[in-house]
Amino acid sequence: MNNNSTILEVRNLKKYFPITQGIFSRVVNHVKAVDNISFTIKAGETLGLVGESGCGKTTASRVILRLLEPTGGSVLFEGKDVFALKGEQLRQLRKNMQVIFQDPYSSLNPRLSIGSIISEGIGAHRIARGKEKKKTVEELLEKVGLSATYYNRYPHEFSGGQRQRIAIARALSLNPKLVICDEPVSALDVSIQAQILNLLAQLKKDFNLSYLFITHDLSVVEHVSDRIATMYLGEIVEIADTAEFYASPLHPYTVALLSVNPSPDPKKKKKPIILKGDVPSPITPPSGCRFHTRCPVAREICRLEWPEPKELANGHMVRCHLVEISSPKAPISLTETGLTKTVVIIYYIYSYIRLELICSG
Amino acid sequence: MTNNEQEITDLHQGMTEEVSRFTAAWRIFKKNRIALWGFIIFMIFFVVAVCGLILTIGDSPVLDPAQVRLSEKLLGPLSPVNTNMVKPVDRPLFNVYLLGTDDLGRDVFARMMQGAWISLTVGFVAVGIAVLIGIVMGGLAGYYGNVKINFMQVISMTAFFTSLVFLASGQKEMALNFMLAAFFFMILSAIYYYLVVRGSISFGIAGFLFFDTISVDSLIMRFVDIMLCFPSFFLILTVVAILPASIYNIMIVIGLTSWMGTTRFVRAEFLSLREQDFVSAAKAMGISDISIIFRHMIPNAIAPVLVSATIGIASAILTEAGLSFLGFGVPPPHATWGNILSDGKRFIFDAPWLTYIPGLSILIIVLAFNLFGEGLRDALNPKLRKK
Repeated sequence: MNNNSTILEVRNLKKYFPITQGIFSRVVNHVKAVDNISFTIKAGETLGLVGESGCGKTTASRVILRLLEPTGGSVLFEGKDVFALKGEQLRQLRKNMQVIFQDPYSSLNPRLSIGSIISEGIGAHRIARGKEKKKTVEELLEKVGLSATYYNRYPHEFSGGQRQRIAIARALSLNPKLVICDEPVSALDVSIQAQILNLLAQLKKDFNLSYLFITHDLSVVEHVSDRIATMYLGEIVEIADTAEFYASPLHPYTVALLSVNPSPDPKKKKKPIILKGDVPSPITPPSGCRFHTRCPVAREICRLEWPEPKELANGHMVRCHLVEISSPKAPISLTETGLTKTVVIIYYIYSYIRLELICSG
Repeated sequence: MTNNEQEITDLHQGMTEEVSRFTAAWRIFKKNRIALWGFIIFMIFFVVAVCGLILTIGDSPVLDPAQVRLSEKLLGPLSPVNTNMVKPVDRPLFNVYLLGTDDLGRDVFARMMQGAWISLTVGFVAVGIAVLIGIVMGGLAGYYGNVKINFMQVISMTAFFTSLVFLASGQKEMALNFMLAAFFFMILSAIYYYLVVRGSISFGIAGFLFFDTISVDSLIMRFVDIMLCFPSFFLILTVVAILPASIYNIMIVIGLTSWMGTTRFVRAEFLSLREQDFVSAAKAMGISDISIIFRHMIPNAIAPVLVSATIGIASAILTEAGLSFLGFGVPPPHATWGNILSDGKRFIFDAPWLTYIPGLSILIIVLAFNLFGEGLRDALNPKLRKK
């Protein structure tokens, strides 16, 4: 990447799970959990990753963390290829990438005290030892809004929100640059959700973190993200800046998702778009555009051809045949020539044509 | 953090005293009356067995289990010694047969004490061996189960272990042959790896032997299934018939035929723990496999293993008693509860205490171990704490 502030770059990442049969475990098919996804996260940025259950969000995060081995593609963390690293180098890299899980009940070892849970990484990486280690842990506990006296307590003595705070403290113990939040608030009730989200925002400032924020909750992701990516059946179908994502979504799937997201403004009237059918099996994904089986505006071409990603001048990426960029294809040349307008024509949901002018100047 | 929350935190600090895990487990255990009785009986048994070893060992022990007094045969419990007939050196402690005498006039109390130590060591050593093998095998199957190995590796491993068995039974020549075979297959495997995997030569159908097709998990678990196919008591009988009769052989054989249950427990626990987020978090932090297994997996998997181990001790004691009863156990001059029972059954109408005393002792100890094991299971479950 030309820009050295890019912290994470994911290129054509693939993860297929083999389906085996028989005593010799013959591979008969694959579950294509993550299929060719690409995105980048800049330093200090939060990228939200949304999508329905089973679309591969969590698998993607686990492959990026190298908890699962990838099938293809590459992940660059600060320019270093994560999949090429081994042994000690990989261990050093793991310090920079940490994770917060969805379920605060299974993410803490019930047999270890809070102190040893948080200090484990500090000890393993020889960051501090003895009294210094204890002091670091106590500071971390205070930082995430818990009392330092919890050091010797056990996880079962805490509530879900407190446990999530402990998990956050553990993730921060190694001083990471990127934290992957895998639905960190979906297991919590709404009042606690707000506390945890505010805590994450505060810590982002204090520790200079970047987040990959995985969620299925569109109102949460709006609150925390700088950019948002939509995933459907193992593919990223749209990436845009948060404001743009909510103001002018381009992919029919994103539009459908946003149309059913409750709005705090009662006067705002939205027509919910209810998608028909179920998500197709990731073992045999539909031909062409993966969304065509449920897309309300699908055409013949959607069934036949796989849509190439199209990028607008402001970095808005979309993968849909029906979105056409009428001006020259490369947006960069546009800005060079001084033109500041890209015209986008969308054959839109409920078959009316919307014309949109996107100004980038 | 809001003020309100801070207040609640402060309140908590005053309320909860810090309790170590052992104390917490003990508190729960104490409430379970039956398990507590099991534990008390276990402790008494332990003390008795150790005393039994100390009092009956040596050339002139305090309690001599082997002293034959033909004039005093088949006396009931609490019978006094006939001082006219027995020399002072041969008399039992306090001149009274606490639990009577057997058909040779031997002191049953002394024999029971000697037998208690045998039972204790058989139980602990056999279960120790079984649990050790069980944790290693179950841990391998559960944690590294997805690793695939090829036929050649399986063959060379089998040859290696066969060689160890021959070495243990003293047949050095066979051991050497099998060891050489193991090395031969290993070298073959290595050559194939460099030729085919690194290079690009194909061996056609023969190459099938070298494909990594067998997962460690299925290898170990199918072996467990094979071991479970044999009725273990008869397997032990066969092995004991071949091996020279000695108490150590019995311990080892019982241990080697009772590890399958532990393996299944450990594997099941490891499989479910491997998918837990705290294990993923530890991996993401760059914690080593060894550390994950010993800090995160085993402490969480050990509770059912401990429970099955305490129950396993009971069944090992029972197996040993059964073997001794059938005459395959510990060789005769040495007393065990099983052979006291076996000797006593001929006099069940004349001297019923010869069967009731060892029989009831076995019953009580086995029951106590089972109850203790179940109490332990409840106490070790952290979710039950604080209730």
